[in-house]
Order: sequence, then structure tokens, then C-alpha cells
Amino acid sequence: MGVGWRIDSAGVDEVIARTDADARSLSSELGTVGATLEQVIGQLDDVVGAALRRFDERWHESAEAVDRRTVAVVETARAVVRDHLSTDEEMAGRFRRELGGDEATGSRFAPRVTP
Amino acid sequence: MTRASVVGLREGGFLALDASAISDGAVDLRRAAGRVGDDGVQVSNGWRALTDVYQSPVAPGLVTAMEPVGQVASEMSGAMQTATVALDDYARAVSSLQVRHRSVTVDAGVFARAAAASPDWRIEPTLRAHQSSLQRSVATLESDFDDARQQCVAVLDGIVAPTVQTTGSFASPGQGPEGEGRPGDGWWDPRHLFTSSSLDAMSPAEVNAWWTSLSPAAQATYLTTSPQMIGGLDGIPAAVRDSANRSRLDRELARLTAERAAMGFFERNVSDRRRSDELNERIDAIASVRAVLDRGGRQLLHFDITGREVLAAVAIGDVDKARYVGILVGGLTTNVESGLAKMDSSAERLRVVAGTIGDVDASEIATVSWLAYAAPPEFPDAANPTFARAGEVGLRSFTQGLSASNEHAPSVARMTLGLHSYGTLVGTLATQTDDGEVDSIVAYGSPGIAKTLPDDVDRYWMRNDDDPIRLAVNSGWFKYQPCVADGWVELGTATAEVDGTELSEGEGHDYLGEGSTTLHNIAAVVMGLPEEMVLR
Repeated sequence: MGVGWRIDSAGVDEVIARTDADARSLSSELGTVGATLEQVIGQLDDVVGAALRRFDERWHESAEAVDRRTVAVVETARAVVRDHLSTDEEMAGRFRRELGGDEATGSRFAPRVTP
Repeated sequence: MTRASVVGLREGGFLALDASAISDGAVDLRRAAGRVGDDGVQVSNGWRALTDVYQSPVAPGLVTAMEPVGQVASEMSGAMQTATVALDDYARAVSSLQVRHRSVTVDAGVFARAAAASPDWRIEPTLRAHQSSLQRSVATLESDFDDARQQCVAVLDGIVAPTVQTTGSFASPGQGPEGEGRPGDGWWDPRHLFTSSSLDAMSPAEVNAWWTSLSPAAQATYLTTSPQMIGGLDGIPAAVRDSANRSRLDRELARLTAERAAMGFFERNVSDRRRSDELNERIDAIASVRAVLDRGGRQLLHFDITGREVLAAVAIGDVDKARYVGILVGGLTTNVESGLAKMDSSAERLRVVAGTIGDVDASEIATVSWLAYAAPPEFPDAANPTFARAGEVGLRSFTQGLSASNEHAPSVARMTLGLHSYGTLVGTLATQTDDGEVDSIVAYGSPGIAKTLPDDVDRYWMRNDDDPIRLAVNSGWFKYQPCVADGWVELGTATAEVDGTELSEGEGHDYLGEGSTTLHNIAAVVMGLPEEMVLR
């Protein structure tokens, strides 16, 4: 019952870096929307302005949640991959490096060292 | 009398608003919200590439965890678009009111001049009517302004901002520790992320419950990114395992074939020769699996090339829908490369005979060729229980997995182990402490068995008169043999006539030959029909 563990650490770094950049852009746009909302509220009368303020508060909560979720997933991936790589180093000697594909899996869930 | 006193609009009404500025703000919001949606989708889509570079049981959970970001960002963008439409409508209404107000103001000027020229204008019917008309116009302007505001407020207050979970588990197969990671507890806790250790510790029934709790999208992600894990995981539905294992079969065959081709005709050294032999054996074994699958109507329930030998389990029929499941366990020297095709043919004969004896449709019966353990490769190895010890764990887990994924209740479904030769040791060991929902065992050509079996497992045995395994039995290779005192029922192997059909005597170490008494007996055990069995 082998499981195919495979890690391309450079590739993982690249995906994380790209997602980080995308997440920063998303965060920036969320901030832009917040600032624009503030400007528009200033243009409105009290009644409509108050309604847009309430909407802004709900929007802000969603924006924060999205931001936090994105950071949490990326940080978790970093931690998991770091843990995986350290396990790899520890277990590297126990695998037959010359084999590829599923063959190199030593046990059911053992990480696999890729060349 | 001034125009303002005639028109009489309140301070701070629509006259103080800049409709163009509101409209411009709405445009800016719409553009920024669009970028939010695009960026969110980019985050999720880009993140999916993680499984291209990182394959582990954790990876699908990480990808799934990011999916809501794109979805929620899109919904947020949509919510903002709705808000900007409301603001646009409001700005247009204000602009319209301001235009109408200018008209009223001009009219008020006319009235004011006429009133100034007539000291008694208050009793002048025409001027009184004009004044009333102006007052109605002003009231309408104010009323329309209120309507526009209320309309805009109603829309804005009605927009539900999308939510995204930031606490709890993203894709946990089980419950997290009590009191941790539940919504509202604060930060999302990565400890609940699906981990290999948690999956490894789960029973097949728990695996089945975890799998069925996943969304179709999450299941598809796991199937795509971790086919080896899903295909080898007992408790996953058979059709899913089949799909996962088949997806790897041709890929591995192509990879190994390419490696062998790259080695060229001449091996450079001993290591090359060893690897070349190993590659040839593996390629032949995988090709054998492929050939059996090509017979049609098969499920590849196990496919593992991580060890020295290629291991596999192939079912005929659908093991999850069948009421009767017979699992054939191979014995001495049996392997995928040389034995699967023959075993599969035997399983097919068994299925046909079982259907005839039980008078049930073929879809009610599934038979499995279970070659998912490394059997002893040489005759003397049959005295070594180590191979059986290694195989019993996998067989027990396999039967538990089939029981968990079978659509029928355990009381309705019937599972039988057909144990051949050394496989009798594997099967009796596997059911010794936990029967794994096995209902009956039939041991044939056995060199010996595990002593104790659960009381609720029916047990039968046969041994052909000319079976060479008798040498091992007579030599006392194994301590325990089937006996009446332990509840074993001995079945016949000689020629017999059943319902007008002549059955032939079992020959040598073969028990599943066409038309044989032994095949008939094994089928009767699978169907749970003692009255159909030919006794010794």
C-alpha cells in the first residue's frame, strides 16, 4: 500500500512565491476598495452614507477573512513542506535513490526522495 | 418674497450632493472590485500548481484549502458590483431631482415676480393655484428624494457579504481535538490539516466515512493528485480505487519500459543486469495485470510496486454491489507475473458456478484474485510463516475495507475466503483475532493453518488424494491442521454427481478446475449453501 510522496522543493518555493505575490496584490486591491468606499461615503447624505458604512463594515470583515485565510494556507504549506524536507533528510538513507516513480516509496506513507 | 421661500427645500437635501462625484466613485469601486475578483481567482488557480511540485496526502488538502479564496473574492466582487449599481441609480436620481429643481426654481421666479406685482395675490385664484402647484412640485421633489434614498439603502443593506472560514479544519479526515479549531475559536489551526499519520491510523470503516464525507470536488482532487494513496487505501469505494489504480498502471508500465529501453541491449555491470532482470519482471507483471483487466468487467482493487514484487488484487464484478464476495488467496510461488491470469480464470469459473448453484444473477456475485502479499517463492519457503505474517495484516484490512464499502448491510452481504495452499495460513491468521467481516473460509491444498478462529466463521477444507502438499503435511511443517474438534468440515474431492451433473475428481494441487467437485464445493461455500456441498 504505497503512497507517492514527491517534492520538488524549488518548484514549491516558486509556487509559494507566486501565490504570495498574488495574495499581496489581492490584499492591496482590498485596501483600495476600502479607501474608495471611504471617499464615496463622504460624498453621500447621512442616510445613504450610513447604509454604505454598514456595507463597508461587512465587506471589511470578508476582506480580512480572505486575507487571513490566504496567509494561513501559504504559511501552513511552508510549514508542511519544511517538515517534509526535514523528514526526507532523516529518511533519505532508507530509500533506494536509483529507483523512480512509486517504487521508491519504502512504506505506506513514507516521504520519497526525488532526485 | 424670494424664490427660496417659495420653493422651501430643506438644507442638506439633494441640492448639496454632487451626483457626478458619486457616480465617479461608483465607477472606481467597480473597477477595484473587479480587480479583487480577478486577484482572488488568480490566487486559487495559481495555488493549484502546488500539486504539480508537491505530491503527498497533505497536498490535496492544501489546494482545497485555498479554493474558497477565489470563490469568496469573486462573490465579494459581485457584492460590490451590486452596491455600485445602487449608487449609480442613486446618483442618477439625484441628478434628475436637481434638473427638476432647476425647472421648479425658474417657475418659482415667475411666480415671485407676478406675486410682487400684485399686492392681493393671496386672493388671486390664478396665483393661488400657481403657488399650490409649486408647493406640490417641491413636495414631490422631496418625496422622490426620500424614495431614492430608501431604495439605495434597501439595496445596500440587503447585500450579504460572503464569508470565508478562517478557523477549524480545511480538509480533516476526522474530528480535531476537543475544543480546538472550532469556528469562533480564533485563528485557523493547521494541526487539523489532513495528515498522513491521521489517515494511517484510521480503520477501513473510518476511511470510508472520511471519504464519503468529502465533497465531490475534494474527492476528485485526491483522486487526481494522490492516486497511489487512494488506490491502496482500504475503505475507499471499489470503483474509486479501480480508477486510481488504473490511472497509474499504464504510466508505470511506460516509465519502466522506457528505463529498460534506455539501458540498451548490453548491461554494463552486475548491478545493471540485476536492474534489468528486475525491470523485466516488473514489466511482465504489470503487463499481466493489464491483460487481465482487458478481459473486461474487472476492478483493480490493489496495485503496488513499492516492494520487491508487484502486488495486485483484481475483482470480477462489482465488489461494492455484490451480495456474495469470494476472495481467492494464492499460495506457494504464486505471483502476479505468472499467476494472475490463471487465478483470474479460476475466479471467473468460480463466479459462474456459484451463480448456477445459488440461482442468482451474476451481478450478485464478485470474485477477487488477491495477490497482494509476497508469497513464498520456493517450495522449502512454505515452512516459513514469515510470509504469511506479512500478508495477514493486508488481507484483514482488505476484507474490512470491502465490508465498509459494500452497499449491503454486513448481515446481508456474505464474504468468503478461498484459501489455497500457503494462502490458508495467510487467511486463517488474518481472521484469527478479528474476522474482518469474513463469514466463511474454505481451505484447499493446505500445508497447515492457524489454530483458533472466531466461532462465527464457517470453516471447510479439502485436500486431493494426490496433492503433493501432503508431503509438507506429513513432514509436520506446520503444527496445526484442520480438524473436526475445531469446527472444520471436510469436503469431498472425488468424483460425484450433483443434480444430474457429473463432477470430476480434483487433481494434484489444483482445486478450481472446470467441472471438478472441488470447484463445486468452493462455490457452495461462497453461496453459503451447505446442502449443495459434497462431503468427504
